[in-house]
Amino acid sequence: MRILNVKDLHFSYGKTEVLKGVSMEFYQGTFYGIIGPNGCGKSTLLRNLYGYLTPSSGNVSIFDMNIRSMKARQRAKYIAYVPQETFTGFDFTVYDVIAMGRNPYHTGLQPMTKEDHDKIIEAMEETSTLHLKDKSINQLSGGEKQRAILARAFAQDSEIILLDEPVSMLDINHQIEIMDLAKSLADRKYRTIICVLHDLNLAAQYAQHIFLMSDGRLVESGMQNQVLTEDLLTKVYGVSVRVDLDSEANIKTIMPLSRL
Amino acid sequence: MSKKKRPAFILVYLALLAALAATIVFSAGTGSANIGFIDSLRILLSKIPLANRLVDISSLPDTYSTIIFSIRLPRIIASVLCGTGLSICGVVFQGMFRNPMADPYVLGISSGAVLGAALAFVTGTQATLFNLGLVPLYAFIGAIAATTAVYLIAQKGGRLVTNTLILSGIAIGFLCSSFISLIIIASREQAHRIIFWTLGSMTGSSWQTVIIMLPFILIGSIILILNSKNLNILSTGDETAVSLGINASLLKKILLVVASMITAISVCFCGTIGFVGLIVPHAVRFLTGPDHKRLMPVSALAGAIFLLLCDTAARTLFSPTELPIGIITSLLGVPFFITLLIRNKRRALA
Repeated sequence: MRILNVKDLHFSYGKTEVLKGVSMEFYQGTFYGIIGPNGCGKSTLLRNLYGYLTPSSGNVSIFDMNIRSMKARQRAKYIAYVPQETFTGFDFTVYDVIAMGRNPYHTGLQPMTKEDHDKIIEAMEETSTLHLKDKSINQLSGGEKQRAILARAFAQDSEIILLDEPVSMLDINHQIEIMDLAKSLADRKYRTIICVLHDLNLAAQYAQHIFLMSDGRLVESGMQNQVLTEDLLTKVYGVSVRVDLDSEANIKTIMPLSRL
Repeated sequence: MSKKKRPAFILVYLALLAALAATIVFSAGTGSANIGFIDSLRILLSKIPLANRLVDISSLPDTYSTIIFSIRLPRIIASVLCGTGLSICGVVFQGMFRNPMADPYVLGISSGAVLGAALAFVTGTQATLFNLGLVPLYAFIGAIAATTAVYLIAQKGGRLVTNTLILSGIAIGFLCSSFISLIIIASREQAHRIIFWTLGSMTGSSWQTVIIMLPFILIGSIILILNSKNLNILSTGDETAVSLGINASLLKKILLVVASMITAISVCFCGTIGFVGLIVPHAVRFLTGPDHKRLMPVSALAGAIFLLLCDTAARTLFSPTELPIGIITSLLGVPFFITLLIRNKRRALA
């Protein structure tokens, strides 16, 4: 079922138009990858999807409700977001940070219920962060911190989870760990994952559907066979690439070629 | 949020309330007429319904009662209100700007107020409002004008960018300071009053000032405390806050307006009292952790006690000479805070 519809989205920072008419459709239970060169508008697109930025024209709708007509709290029940920057803030405990994921379900002063607490614990168990519960979020390693932020998104219990380059700072072990967690959420709980990625190999490995963006526009959209081609990637990224097929996993591998 | 091995918090509140009550009694009994703690307690109780049946103050001179109720108590309440208001505003500004250097004066309120007061001094206006001189009114207008200017510079299409806000606060602050310096140079006879005013003082307190301050600071503080949970989330950044269902733009505006009103009302009656709004939140954070649901009310109580102690010291240490309270807040507060800082170095830097 179609959950998110992006229609002819335009967005400008001041006079610079960053999104120049993007249209996309997202269906429930699917893992989407968004790729494209630096500055092509991927992160800006995500920020328009959860209502942080307001498009100059076009619209974003969840189940045919325009997100601009929804309250922030209501929107947050549908869409969670894992930002690119790692957590910077006061010394909250891991539990406190994850508990913030329950905010959309409470107005102002309502205390947390047993259900909230259960959801938080469940999110911690799924992300293996339960043992970190009383630690300060600022004391965690990069991988642990990212798991905790992912747990916050889990606790938010939303249909859609947006991830902005969630693993670009992590080693391969922790990359796979985070990507597997996101993937399992799509598979087991039928959640829609929309993930901006720099690593094309991760996109090939995890995304069921890939959007390739360039200069504020959607260039190609489809399965990996359709999008991850030598011609297209070379043209969009401006560097020669070799695309092979790993026959064992049936996944494309992308190798950028040195210019030397 | 989580139930952890922090001290049972209800006890902390009770202890702080008891400490505040004791400080009030102590302060009411201390001064050039030395009434003493016990007699001060009896006189204060005599005005409280029910409790007044327990005490008999007929043996005490009537002047004691007059000194306490007409002179010391309004000043005590004003100190408590300022201490509460400035500490809570400090918490709010540090949280919303995610900046440990932020204090209630970060948006240029203080220099705007001083400029307003300085103008009142040099124009020498004798007019009064509610039986008060026009200095507080000028200061209030200055404070609000400076903050409004800062806000208008920093906002863009209704959006507030934190760093721009802080920078324009600094810029407007410097601009006002230059005008103040000009006024001081041009009008030497007023220089002493202006400088005294920039260091803060509770001397001007009366029941009238208390009645004007009370609703602003009380209602304002309640609004801010009710937003503790929202402030927790806002302190993790605008983007995250929006994704967690907070209307960050609106929340920032509410916090900004309320905190500015509280600061402006305190600064216009008592001058700029430095240090309280910066340090009390940090000191309390060592005890409560960063959760604003605890940090705000504990800071409010701690700030009230701290400022009241400082004011008591300011009016008694070199009696009959009054010291500016801003000097005392630093003299008393800095050693205490540095001790805390050294003991908690690891946590403070995290």
